[in-house]
Amino acid sequence: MSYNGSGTFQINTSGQPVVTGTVISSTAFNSLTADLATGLSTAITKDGQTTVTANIPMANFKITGLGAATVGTDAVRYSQIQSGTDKLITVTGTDTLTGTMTPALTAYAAGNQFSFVAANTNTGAVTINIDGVGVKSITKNGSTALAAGDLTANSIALIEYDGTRFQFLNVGNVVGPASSTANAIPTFSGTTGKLLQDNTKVKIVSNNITMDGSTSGTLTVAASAVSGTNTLTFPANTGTAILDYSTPAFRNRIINGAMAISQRGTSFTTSSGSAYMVDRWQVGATQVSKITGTQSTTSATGFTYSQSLTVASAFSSGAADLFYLTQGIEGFNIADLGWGTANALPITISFWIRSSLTGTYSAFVRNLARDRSYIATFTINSANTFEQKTVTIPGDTSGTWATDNTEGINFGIDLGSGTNYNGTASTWTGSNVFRTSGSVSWVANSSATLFLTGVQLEKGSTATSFDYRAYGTELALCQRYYIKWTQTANSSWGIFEGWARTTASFRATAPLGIPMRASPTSSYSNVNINDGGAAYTVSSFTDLSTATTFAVQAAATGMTQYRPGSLGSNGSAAYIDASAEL
Amino acid sequence: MIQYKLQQIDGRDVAVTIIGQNISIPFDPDNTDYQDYLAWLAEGNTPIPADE
Repeated sequence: MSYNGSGTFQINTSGQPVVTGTVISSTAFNSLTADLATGLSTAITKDGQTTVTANIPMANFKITGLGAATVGTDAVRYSQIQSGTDKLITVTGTDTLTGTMTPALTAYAAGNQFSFVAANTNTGAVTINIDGVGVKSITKNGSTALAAGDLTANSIALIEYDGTRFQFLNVGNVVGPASSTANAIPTFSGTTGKLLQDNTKVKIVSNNITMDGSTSGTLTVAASAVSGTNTLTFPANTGTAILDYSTPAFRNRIINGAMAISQRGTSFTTSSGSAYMVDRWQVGATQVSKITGTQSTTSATGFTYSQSLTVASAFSSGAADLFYLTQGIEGFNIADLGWGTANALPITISFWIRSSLTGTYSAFVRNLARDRSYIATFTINSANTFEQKTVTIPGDTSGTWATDNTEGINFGIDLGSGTNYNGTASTWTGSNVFRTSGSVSWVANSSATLFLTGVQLEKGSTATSFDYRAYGTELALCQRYYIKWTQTANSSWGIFEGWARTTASFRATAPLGIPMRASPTSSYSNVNINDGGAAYTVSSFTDLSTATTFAVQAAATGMTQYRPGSLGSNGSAAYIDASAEL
Repeated sequence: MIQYKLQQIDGRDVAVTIIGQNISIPFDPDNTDYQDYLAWLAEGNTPIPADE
């Protein structure tokens, strides 16, 4: 009989139970021993002699004290799962990887995931052979071969077998360069690499995100595909230069770089030597009447005006002669550059220039004391053609650079100054130099022309697009340095109202809409005093202005004391102006 | 050669003009025309006194 199929061992009942005092039948005894032999042979022996012939129902009981599996057909001890031995490969090699597992792998199956610590940084496409099962490629983003550096020495790689190849799952989770390459930037040779997977945060600790390379880079905050707001948040400006290099407001430190503001008129001479042209721009000249200028409508694409210059009388400069086109930038407007300190930042100057003379020219920047200067050369390649030029100048960590209402930086382009001002390009010099010996002596060429527009001086090492400002904004910026009140001939009203302080002096005052840089110098043309009864010729102005109030005392004769009147045209086109240029 | 002339208000020098130019320069150290005048003085030049 033996087991009944449900686990109950049954004894043969023939001749049983035996009775005291009777002879036990051999048949009954033999049947009993046969049943016992059958039962014991069917049981599992603890020394492993028997082989199980069917599944063993454990009825929720554990197998305890299980030995660690050593081959693929062994039962797995739970601690082996915890330790990941079923996933972890020991790998050697750089691009041709040999992997071993314990227990050894016997076959690849789609869906198998393994991880390993890369022994070396790969130099190209990578294959792996695990326990001699077969050589398979490791690819990324589908079937793309790995590029050099995708596997980084000592980094953990996660791969999954897709039935054909192993795909590298953590290609985007770049582990930074080894400590031996501090400050290096992880690079991607593919076109679809990404820094981190979705739904993660990028946190930069005490460092920067840097765009680097020979072309250009873009940091994009992508718009969300669903409703919501994407915000690029900058920290409070508690340190220095938080919005470094590309400050959106007042990016261009040059005023009137597009030459659109020209309060002084549209044509200019240098009959007294140095002379202002369009607003904020001055021709510096030690010789009179060699250069004339206009606010020209011949300009570069995208600009309406330029400052044009023409050599009116060719001049071969003596050693001490100077000729340049320049603009002084107020110290308040360059204070953030940190020049004269260890934290000095670079600047980039870009401009459109056209000249009838090709060759090398010198642009320059200087400080107020003229004991720090930097020459940056550029080349005009084609005559009479607008070309955009860009020069980058490292910040000056030496010298004194004004950060108040005096001149912070003097920028200019040399027009053929004398040899006293020759210097070396692309280096800071502790003296007043602003041209190289090989630069074009433009002023020495009769009827030579030069046009300049789109001038931008900005913080940083990259030239950005021209910082167009509203006309009114640009005009207001100009009027901090110069303002001109004009009146057409025979106008019936005055420029300023005032009163006769005495019979010989007339005082007029007016608040300045734009506070000027300093108390301005005043000048006038074709102005008289009219008190409604008579007109009085002005013989002179005495300036009483402050930076916020224009005030003059005009001298005349025969006025009636305390009578009000006006300063205005004497019958011809008149002007009064105030200048606080740098 | 440029020539400066002092200008007075109530007997006090407050500005200078340049002979031949309808211009008046206030005595403000930040005014660059005034700085040019000071440099001119430093060269040993003397302005014309103000009108009485």
